[in-house]
Amino acid sequence: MKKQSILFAFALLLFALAHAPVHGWAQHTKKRPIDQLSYPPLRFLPRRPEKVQLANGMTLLILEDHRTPLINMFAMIRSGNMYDPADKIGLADTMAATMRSGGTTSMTADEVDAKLEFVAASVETWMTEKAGYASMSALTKDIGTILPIFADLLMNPAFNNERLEVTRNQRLNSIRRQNDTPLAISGRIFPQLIYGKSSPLARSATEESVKRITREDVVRFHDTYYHPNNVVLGISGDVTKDAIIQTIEHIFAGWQPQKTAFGKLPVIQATVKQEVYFIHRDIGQTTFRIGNLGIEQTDPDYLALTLANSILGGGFFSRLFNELRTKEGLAYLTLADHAEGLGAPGYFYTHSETRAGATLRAIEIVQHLIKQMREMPVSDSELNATKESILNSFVFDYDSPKKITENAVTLYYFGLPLDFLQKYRDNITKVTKEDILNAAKKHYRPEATILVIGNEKEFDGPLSTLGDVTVIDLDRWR
Amino acid sequence: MSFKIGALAKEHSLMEIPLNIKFAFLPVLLLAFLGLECDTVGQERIDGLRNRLKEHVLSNGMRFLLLENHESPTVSFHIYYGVGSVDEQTGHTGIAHLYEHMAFKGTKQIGTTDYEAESRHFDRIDRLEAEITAEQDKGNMSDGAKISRLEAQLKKEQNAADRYVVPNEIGKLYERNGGTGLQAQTERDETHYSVNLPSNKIELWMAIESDRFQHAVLRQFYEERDVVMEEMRQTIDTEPFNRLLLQETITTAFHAHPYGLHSGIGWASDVSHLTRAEVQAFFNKYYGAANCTVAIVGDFDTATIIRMIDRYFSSVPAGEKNRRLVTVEPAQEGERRVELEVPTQPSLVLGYHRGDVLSIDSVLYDVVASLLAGGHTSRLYKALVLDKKIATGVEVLANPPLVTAKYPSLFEIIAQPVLPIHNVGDLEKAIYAEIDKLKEERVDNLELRKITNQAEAEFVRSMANNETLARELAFTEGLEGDWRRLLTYRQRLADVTPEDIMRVAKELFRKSNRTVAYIVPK
Repeated sequence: MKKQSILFAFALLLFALAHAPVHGWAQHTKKRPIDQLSYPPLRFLPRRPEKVQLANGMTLLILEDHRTPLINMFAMIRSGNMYDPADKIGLADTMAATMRSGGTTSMTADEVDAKLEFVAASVETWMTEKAGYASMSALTKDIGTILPIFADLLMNPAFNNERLEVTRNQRLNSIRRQNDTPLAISGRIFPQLIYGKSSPLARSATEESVKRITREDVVRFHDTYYHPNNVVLGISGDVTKDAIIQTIEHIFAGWQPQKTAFGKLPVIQATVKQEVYFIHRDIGQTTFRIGNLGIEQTDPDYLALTLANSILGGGFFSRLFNELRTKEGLAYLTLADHAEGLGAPGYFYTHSETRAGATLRAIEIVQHLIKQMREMPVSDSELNATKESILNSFVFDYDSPKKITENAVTLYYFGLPLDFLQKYRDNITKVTKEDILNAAKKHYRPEATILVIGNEKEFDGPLSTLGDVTVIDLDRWR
Repeated sequence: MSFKIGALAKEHSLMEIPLNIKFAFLPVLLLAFLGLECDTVGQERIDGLRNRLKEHVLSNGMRFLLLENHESPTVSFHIYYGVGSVDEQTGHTGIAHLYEHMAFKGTKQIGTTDYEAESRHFDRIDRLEAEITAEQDKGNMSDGAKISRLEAQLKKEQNAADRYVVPNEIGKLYERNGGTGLQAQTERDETHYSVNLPSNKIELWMAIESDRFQHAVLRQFYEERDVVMEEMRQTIDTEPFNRLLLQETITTAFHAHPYGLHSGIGWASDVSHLTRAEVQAFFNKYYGAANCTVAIVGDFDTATIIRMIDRYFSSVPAGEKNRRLVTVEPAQEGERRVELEVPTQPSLVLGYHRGDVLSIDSVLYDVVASLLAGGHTSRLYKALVLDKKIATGVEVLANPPLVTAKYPSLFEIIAQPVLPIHNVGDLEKAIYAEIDKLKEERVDNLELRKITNQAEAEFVRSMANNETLARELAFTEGLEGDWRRLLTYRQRLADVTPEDIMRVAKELFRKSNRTVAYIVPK
């Protein structure tokens, strides 16, 4: 469950950054003091973790940093919710949660909790569509106690039945609450409309599917995917390379590599015509998304598309922000993004919320802004500001050894080169206005999918003006 | 930057409760600055902080806390203004938050190509808006045609002013120069503004911030007021759980003190009537240098940055220091219950009146919160979630969200039942049974030690993070009057005895001291 921290904050969606053409980058008539500032060059050398391959197939990425007496680990394990059997959606997720909470074959769940919490160390395990995760954080002085627990939980989880029931309660609770807010509904349903509702990339667990999951299923899932050859482990902080390699080899000594047969993802079909979906909620604000199937991050168009998204719906510069929010006062939250895209095609979408009485007007404005991206090149000033913003903020991707290492693990897991980020930075400078226009033409489709959540009685017109409307009844949506 | 790495952010929270809000000051953050007398790791760091931090106070009263950290070429800035929604009056609720939005609209220099020409339209815009509002307020008697005519005139006038506007220029300047984490937040007791910049862009921050808090221009005012109305719909109207937690609990618990006036964002009907002149007056009254504390942490040279601060901020008018409110909430004389009937799953919030942040018991509220819900081994999590399996999650807050206890506050317990077998009534009984133990049984030393250890580790972690540190410094100085209370907190914690905990539990957890708020599904 992702938390959105948007209350009362002037929340800025800074994952993409751009500048608005609609008003233009107005030319100041007189030179202002703020334009006269000059900045010294930034001295900054990005560091990169070292890669080490262990005999049992585990890959380590190590970054030494002794300034803080803290050691962090971050592992990705080749698996994911996408490998759930069709009748047991929620299995991988249940496994990952109970792996941490359910003790090990040599320690009870209570013992694990007590040992970790007494020294305020953390070990967490979780699952996403495309990967399993595990993390550890401990003060250097406690590493002797904590690392063995981390390893034991990864290799020998007990999946204690009592704790499995707690996990099940929590999952069922999440499912029962999944329609409580329009934000949660749009986040769950929209990807299903893009990928198909039974797609392994988007399907969601139901009460029935979660209840069907047994302890045996959980144990089997772990046995199938959790082997050292499927693990990339990042280690950062107060360690010395040679010593930590030895320790890791020793501690994971009993873990044998094993070949895993990974199922193949079904081919994803893009929609061929514009589709409009409506979900009724008895509230005065409408939430809507517009989007379509996108591309992988390895696609040659990806950088240009990233810049296009920034210009359309990134931060303060973006067209959506300036038109829908600032000029029209129609939205608090409005953005464009290209989601996912690692290991499988992602999707492009805009998300906006507006008062019910302005629904069609707001949709029309967003559609118009998307269309404009397809038809006209962006301005030089938009392009430059967006590039500068990305290049200038680059240093924040490298401001802690933990962050650098976690990024490296993710890149390695998805088969991207470890210098991807540095290259990314160089390549950003090369993107032209033509590249962006081409990317927008190819990847912002006229046959988009539109999802509208709200109270149609209060709308400023019928949704059918957008096309044939399919009404989704969430109680029957499986 | 826009390369996206999925799923790095794992929710480490124990609860499955959708707290869709920005928590201002969780106990864990307070505990972030604890240490232990016997632990040298934390001690070295505390000594380091004490010796390295430079305080710099300008003659206008503006306070700067400066801490060098050269780990990465970045700097974090945190501005704290000692004014928040608690300072609002009935009829004008939401004004602090609306100003916070307007603070991004620019100045006479930023956000405009010609301020003189632009501002000539403001009076007419204000007059038209007032006429429209007056007509709309007639309700059924209002003249729709007149409103449409006025709205067309207003739009024309707004467009005329907009010709000179460079929209969102403050945000754009920061973004273009690599700023991250650009945020502002209005809480009950304060309003704060923060950003991180590459360390070669320090002067940009000086130029923008010294300008915006001297020469603020509330441009595109009514459009932004509409944006805030959308924010209210999103965070309060579409989120029933937020209504329970942010609005119903606190407005029931407080009758006299303005903590109980509204949710913090204001009432819709008040916000929709706020005018540019009213918000300007609010700014003039509260945004002086005397109300302002700034913490800067990161890669800079202290002597150099002080020269820059003097150059940019000495001219900021001192203004008046915000006076402490005199209203005291009378002691509660009996349990208060409030029910919210909405189409959503049940939740329970318990609120108990507690002292303010400077009271000697303040540290005890944090300890009790940790004992009850700080981790898998905490008492309520164990009892409700693991053993009895009647709750899916439980959270305990030493203060309500968006309250930092400048004034006596509430201690809150939040839980959600396992459906469909259990209900909020079951939870309520089980929670009372567990908190009653704190009144009667001594907490053993090992359990106390766990809490201090957690604090120690959190302290070390946060020391490595410029953003967190800047925030904590600004808050402690601004709210508590002395940033050193970060360092002395550990001593206050070390002094906590099991008897103290029993005493404070007896004082807090009384039936007549509590407010019970819950959702009943419609």
